[in-house]
Amino acid sequence: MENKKLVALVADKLGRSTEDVSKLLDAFTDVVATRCGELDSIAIPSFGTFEPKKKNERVVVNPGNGKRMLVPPKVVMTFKISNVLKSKLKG
Amino acid sequence: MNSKITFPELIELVATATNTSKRMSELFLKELFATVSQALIEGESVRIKNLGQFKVEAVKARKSVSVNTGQEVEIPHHNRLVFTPAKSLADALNEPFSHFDTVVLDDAVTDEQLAAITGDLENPSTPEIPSPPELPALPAPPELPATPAPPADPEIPEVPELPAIELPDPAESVPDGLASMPVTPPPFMPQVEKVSPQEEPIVEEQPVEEAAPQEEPIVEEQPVEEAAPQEEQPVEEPQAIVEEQVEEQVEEQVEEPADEDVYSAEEIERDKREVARKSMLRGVLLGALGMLLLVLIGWGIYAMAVSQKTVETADTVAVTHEEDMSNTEIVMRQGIAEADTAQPAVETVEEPKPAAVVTDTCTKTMFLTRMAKKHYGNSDFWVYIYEENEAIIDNPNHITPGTVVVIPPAEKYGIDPKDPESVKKAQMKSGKLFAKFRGK
Repeated sequence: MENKKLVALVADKLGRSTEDVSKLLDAFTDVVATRCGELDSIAIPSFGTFEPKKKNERVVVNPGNGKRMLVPPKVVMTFKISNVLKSKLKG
Repeated sequence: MNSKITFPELIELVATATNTSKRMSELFLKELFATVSQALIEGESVRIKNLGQFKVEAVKARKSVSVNTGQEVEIPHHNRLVFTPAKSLADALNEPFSHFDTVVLDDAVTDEQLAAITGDLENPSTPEIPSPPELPALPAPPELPATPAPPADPEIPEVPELPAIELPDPAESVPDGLASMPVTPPPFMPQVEKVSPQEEPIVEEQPVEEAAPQEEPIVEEQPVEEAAPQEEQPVEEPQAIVEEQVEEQVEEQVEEPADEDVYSAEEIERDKREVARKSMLRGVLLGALGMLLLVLIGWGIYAMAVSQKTVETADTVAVTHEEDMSNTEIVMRQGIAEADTAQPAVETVEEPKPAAVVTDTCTKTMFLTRMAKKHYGNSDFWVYIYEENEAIIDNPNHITPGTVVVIPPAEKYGIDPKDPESVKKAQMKSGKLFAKFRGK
């Protein structure tokens, strides 16, 4: 399901226009981006947790030519599924 | 930072961002995730713009071993959710690190250096804390107002005087700092360098000196030119001077302990200079000797050749029995040639002897054992150096630094580091010597 279809579905269920819903969705993704950029995690009940994880810089060795490289630090977004959704998915 | 945003907080954040009611925002979020969950349960993947893609993946049944019982267990077939963050979200999260790039490391970069860097990154405050209190004690700002020139341009030519005044005045601390700093190669100094130039201008601006920040760099550079020729130090760089200024400030702040350090540094510096001078002299002498030897050998060979020729001619002359004059002449020549050959012969015999007498100077770090290791390849042979120099050295455990000892040739005592017998003999001897000097 693509973004457009999702917005249409939610708008239909809420009885609101797609513009309103897409605006709300944009606001939500903005919040996720800014707060997760500050390394805050966002928990959504019965769905999961968006959790940014900071990875430190590290030295890797290219096995092909033996060159060592310094990989810069980075923040990785992880999503931890809630147990409710997990059990639902299993069945 | 690292806090967990709960659902009510999220509702409020979204509501304020869109200027809608909390109720609306709550309804929307609940509906959104309900829809997404429903789609996922149906096995559909969902892509949300600027967030990412949720995808259900089938995991095949596989065999495993129960951790507790050790029995084989089959993990049944199930689905799992995979979240792939959108490119825009990943970029937004990594914005603080976006200017970094993967760097190929040189072979020169060691693991220790990397560890040191990461250690500094973890507590970056340590090098910064001591510097701000140092800088108010900078000698330059208080002296600047004394120079009677308000505009900035005429002041600059006068700036060279500042270091000149500074150097003789605190005669003990400052020149010592200048002298000692470049010699001691500081592995950690680069960081101090980096810190100090950044901070100096900042703090100097605070005392409201217009010219000071501009002049500082000049002050720092000019002493380099002046000091370098005076001291003839090979490793004098502007960075070193920056370090020294920082060092001075530290010294002025903490005078008493710093002074002691400076004295020791001064001594070390003096020693090092002497050693350097001596080694220079030695090098020059050795070079001259080598040249002499070469010339003598060359001369000797030439003379030999000449004498052989003269002998041949003499023989031929003797056979033909010509005039006496020629004979005497040849004899004369022969005599000269002999004298010539004799001279270099004697000298070449004598030359190697002084060269073979190897001497070494004891220092605080150069003991007999280390000399033995250096010259013979095994530290156990120090006993022979001691025996050779018994007249000079009273106690091998207490040798005054600076004592020049003669290193005997290895053949004299039958020294052979590869021969275990020889090593054992030396060890026996050293044991006796230790017993002899134990009480002293």
